[in-house]
Amino acid sequence: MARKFQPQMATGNDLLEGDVVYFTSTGDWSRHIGDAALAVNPEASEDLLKRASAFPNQVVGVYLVESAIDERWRVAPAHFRETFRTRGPSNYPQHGRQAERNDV
Amino acid sequence: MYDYTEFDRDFVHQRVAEFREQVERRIDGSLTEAEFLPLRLRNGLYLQLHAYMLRIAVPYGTLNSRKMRQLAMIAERWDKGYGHFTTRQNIQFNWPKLRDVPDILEALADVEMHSIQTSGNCIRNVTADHFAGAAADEIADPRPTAELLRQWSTDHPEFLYLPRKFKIGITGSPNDRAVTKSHDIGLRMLRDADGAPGYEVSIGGGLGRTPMIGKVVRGFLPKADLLPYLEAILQVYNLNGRRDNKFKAP
Repeated sequence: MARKFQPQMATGNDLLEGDVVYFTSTGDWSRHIGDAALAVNPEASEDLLKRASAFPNQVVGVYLVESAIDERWRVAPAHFRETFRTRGPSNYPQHGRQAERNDV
Repeated sequence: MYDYTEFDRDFVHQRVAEFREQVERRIDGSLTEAEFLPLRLRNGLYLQLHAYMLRIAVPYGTLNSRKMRQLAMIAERWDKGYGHFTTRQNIQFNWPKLRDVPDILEALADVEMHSIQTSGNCIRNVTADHFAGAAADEIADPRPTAELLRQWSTDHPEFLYLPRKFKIGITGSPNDRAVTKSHDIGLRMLRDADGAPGYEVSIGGGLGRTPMIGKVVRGFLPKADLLPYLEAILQVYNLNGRRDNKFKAP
């Protein structure tokens, strides 16, 4: 049986900073996953990836990730690898974004 | 510890100048990411999950206070105040910004350090016992051999495009604190019945997703034969190592 489609968002790393960024519904990039544009069907995902890939000198390694809704009804990545990307290294809570804010 | 000659100093500074220009060309869009990727990897710069990571070579794990202080300065000025020493005795900075990396490399070159061959399918930094030169059980100090291998393998034109990264470890002690059998080539210093120095040579060890314990291919190799013997191993690997699947390359 075909796997059920999960809403997707586009992410990559900022060329200058290396920081994790998300493609937004206004067509630019944000460090906050809450700003990410969501594609709700395969055609929209394809279009999202195409639009997000139009910034080769701003964002590196653009790809789609599946999203989910977390326990506080916020958009979150479905895969733990992507959850780490929203927070920072799992071995040192004082490193990365999790050190800057506690709402991730 | 090896002191740079004038040639070495010029060479490393020229590499920094070259990379500075490459970074500028990437930022202004003249280089695509696909074009820039192999250039940054040649200078130890990875783009990882959270940020860029710069790996710096610490030959066989030896540092003096001048180098250590420069690493601390780099950590405070261009990173987040810390670095990670790796199991293979290098150091990594995990939060550098792309624009700052040429300045970091320049600061490293000022104290005779660099990031050359800390990434890519080449011979990486030679690892030695961290107690080298001070261990009570030592047959001989492994650092002169490690330095010989560093000079031989640095920018060796034949071995810069191997099927996969290639690692060499050496110990001068029967208690193998350098874990030589986890290396592509592991060397254990020995003496023969007449007291002449040499090496037990093992090959094929590795970590990663398919860990392997190296197998001994030569029980005693006379010291004078070391480089030709290693060159032969590398030549066989270079010719026969798989390049179609990196997980099967070792």
